[in-house]
Amino acid sequence: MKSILLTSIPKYDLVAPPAAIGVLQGVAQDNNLNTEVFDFNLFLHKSLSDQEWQELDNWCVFITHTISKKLEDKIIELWDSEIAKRLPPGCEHLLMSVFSYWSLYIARLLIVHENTKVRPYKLMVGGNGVVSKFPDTGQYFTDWNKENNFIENLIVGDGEKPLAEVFNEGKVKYDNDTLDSFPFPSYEGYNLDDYQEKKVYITGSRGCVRKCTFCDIYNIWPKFRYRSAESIVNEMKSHYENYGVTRFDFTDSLINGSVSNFYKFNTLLAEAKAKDSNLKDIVYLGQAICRPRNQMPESHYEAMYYAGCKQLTIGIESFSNSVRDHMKKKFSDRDIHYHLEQCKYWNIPNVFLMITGYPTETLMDHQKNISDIEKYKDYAQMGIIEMIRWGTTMHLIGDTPITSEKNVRELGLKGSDNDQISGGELATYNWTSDANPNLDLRERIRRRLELHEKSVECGYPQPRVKAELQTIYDMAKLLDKSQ
Amino acid sequence: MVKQIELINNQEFSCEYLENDKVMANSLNKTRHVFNVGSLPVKIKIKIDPWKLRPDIRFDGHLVNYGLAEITPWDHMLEFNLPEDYKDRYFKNIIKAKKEYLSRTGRDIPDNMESYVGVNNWYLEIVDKIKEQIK
Repeated sequence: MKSILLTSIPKYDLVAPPAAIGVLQGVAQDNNLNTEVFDFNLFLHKSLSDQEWQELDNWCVFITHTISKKLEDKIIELWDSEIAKRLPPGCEHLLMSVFSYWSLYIARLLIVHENTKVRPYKLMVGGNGVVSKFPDTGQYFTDWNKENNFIENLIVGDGEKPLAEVFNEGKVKYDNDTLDSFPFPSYEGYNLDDYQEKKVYITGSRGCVRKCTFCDIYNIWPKFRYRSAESIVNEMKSHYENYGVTRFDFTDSLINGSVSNFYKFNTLLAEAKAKDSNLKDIVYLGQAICRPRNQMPESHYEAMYYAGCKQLTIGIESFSNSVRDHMKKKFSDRDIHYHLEQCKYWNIPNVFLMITGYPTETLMDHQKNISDIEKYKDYAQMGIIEMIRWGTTMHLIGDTPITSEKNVRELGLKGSDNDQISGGELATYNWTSDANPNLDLRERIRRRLELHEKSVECGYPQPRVKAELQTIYDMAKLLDKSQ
Repeated sequence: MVKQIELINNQEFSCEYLENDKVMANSLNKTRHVFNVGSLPVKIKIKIDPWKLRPDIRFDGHLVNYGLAEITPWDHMLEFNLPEDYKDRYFKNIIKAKKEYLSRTGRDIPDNMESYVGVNNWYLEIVDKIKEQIK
């Protein structure tokens, strides 16, 4: 029987088994392959010192563009020894999941290394990261591979169909436009106790119904597609039966992209829980967008409550209307207030994701952030704004609307070398805007610290703030004192 | 300050509302009962008929968790104290519950406290270092 080893690499969280591997393992098993899984991200986290892990992390998020030779050698040595141990008999494929552009550097290191070896398997690489450019060379991952011919099967976009094509010599039963045609993910081979939470990721949709200026989801999934409510509920039931999992974390960019389908899902899940007491502990969490009352009336929040919605992660991004307008977030202050009141009424906690120092953010916009932290602090006290994250200041990501020719021209966006940013060439945190000249990196860091201090003062829980501050410190160290 | 208590249940029930052991109101045969709260602090008992019901409870429109709100559900009544700093207590209980959960699962390491709890995190030392750097 043919077999495959599926691997995941940094940067990825350590909370639960990687979703992409679950999905692809499901496809491999559906196509009669023996599978083995290896979470190299988790393995490195256990094997590296805190200092090494931080060095790796800074490299992954492009704070630095190299790592020490010593760390590089250690990563490769660990990779080689573990792959040799875990390779299943008759292994024809080694699959590497490049989750996002934050996996690019380590993926390149390992792929180049794989090509120095005589190996019995073919290399398969896929994931959102493969559509991006390397920040240091500006070269697309796909072009880099074409030039070097490193990867036998490079999968761009949805992985299910191309993977099945490789396994079945072109014969496939899946349809990319119908997500329900894909098999359920499989988490076989993972010890769920190795992770911080006993939960699995679940995907209800791909793509987004918005086109926010700072986001690159559109490049990966230009069209918003979603699974039927029935299929999602059935998958939850199946993971409960197979692994005893009752906690589900949606990977969707937004779980309420289709409001009607989301409402149906909540209603079906609530009904299933009411009918079968074994399912009563099932809960879910996911990312969502803030919507006005006419799109998500009160009954939708009620259905979420009975279905077991335990947390929503919402990209509020800024409390300033004008900043949000430029971002194309499409919701108002009134909508935020309505959403918070509904969540308070049904006790649904939120994680607010924020961006500090968006290119159009004026001092007045910043003050609005500060004053709304104060205004909404009661919601934090009641656990409705369960957490707030201000991030590590605005990064300009290549191939996003904010780095489009139009925005670069209108906002006069320039890189650290003071050259105009040419659309989609880089991911950088050190930029300036001629249209908003006061907002340089130094000012963004200053504002970020103010937001940190105000948030702590008002009692907002802020997760991973130590790591964020450490990253900001590393960024600040690179500032030229003369600037 | 909690000013209003609301109880909701799918089936009809009746309530006798007491503040500091004094009956303040009766409300009969409804699925939703609303009581206005006098001055805080106050000890509240709500006798419920039929027994063994666990209605949803909202304080000023906030659906509360029984444990975090320190509500004792007896067969025949609900009992709890409402101090003036009720919200502070509720928040402290959220944090305490998260810490206890991490501790119970053996995951109360500093990294997880950072990721899941995230309070009292001034990190003055790093903040000062950053401030020095951006001077």
